[in-house]
Amino acid sequence: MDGLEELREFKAKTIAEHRAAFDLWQRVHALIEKYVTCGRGLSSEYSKALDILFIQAFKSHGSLYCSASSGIAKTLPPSHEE
Amino acid sequence: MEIAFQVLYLSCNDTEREKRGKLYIAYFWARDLELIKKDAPNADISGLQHQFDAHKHLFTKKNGKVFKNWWGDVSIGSIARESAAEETYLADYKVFSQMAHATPQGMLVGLKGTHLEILDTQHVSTILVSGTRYVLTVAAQWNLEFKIIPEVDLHAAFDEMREFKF
Repeated sequence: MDGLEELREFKAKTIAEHRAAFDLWQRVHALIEKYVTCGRGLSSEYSKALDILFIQAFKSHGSLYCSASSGIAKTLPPSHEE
Repeated sequence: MEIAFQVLYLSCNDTEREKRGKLYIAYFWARDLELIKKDAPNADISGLQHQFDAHKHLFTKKNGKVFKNWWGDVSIGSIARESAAEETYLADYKVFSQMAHATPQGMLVGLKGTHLEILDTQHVSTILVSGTRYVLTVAAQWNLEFKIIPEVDLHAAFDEMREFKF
């Protein structure tokens, strides 16, 4: 089994073990994604700042999927059962 | 997590909101000028320099140095305290800091029989659900201003997150 295949397996196993949390993550991310591109009035400095932070939070939440499912595997070699 | 505490700080005081929003936006001029000077030393920065000069009274100290963050030189913990969210900050920061710095309590390893499993994934649900809680907090605050996400959908998402069984 090559490294990429091992990584895929590890990722699939992690997602299966934490299916409920990944499902929650996915539903909330999809909900926000539906509205993040909607037009909105940026009438004040406060609204502009809040909007930028909202977009940052959305993107950061999106990156959790990679961090949670395979981030550790990217930095550490998969272990081998003896 | 840090984004959510910035949003709380930005929003927690009605009379300070506009001033804090202005500080947040103005800080981009400071950060951009610094990055461009570093990454593209030969670029024409006259426009940016003009904006920096026009806004520097917002983000510079008496000695002319730029504040470390848009909210000043204090820590995220300090702005959490000012936003009445210190307890949450301290509890969550402790957990995530231990994971990030691989302290004995937070190191992502576990025993598997007689072996040390370095790819232990026991914290994955914690990371996903906590991150989801923070993005929902930000979305709720954003929605108070813009009223775009149906409240019923946000409430349903909050309920699902709160009822999550680890």
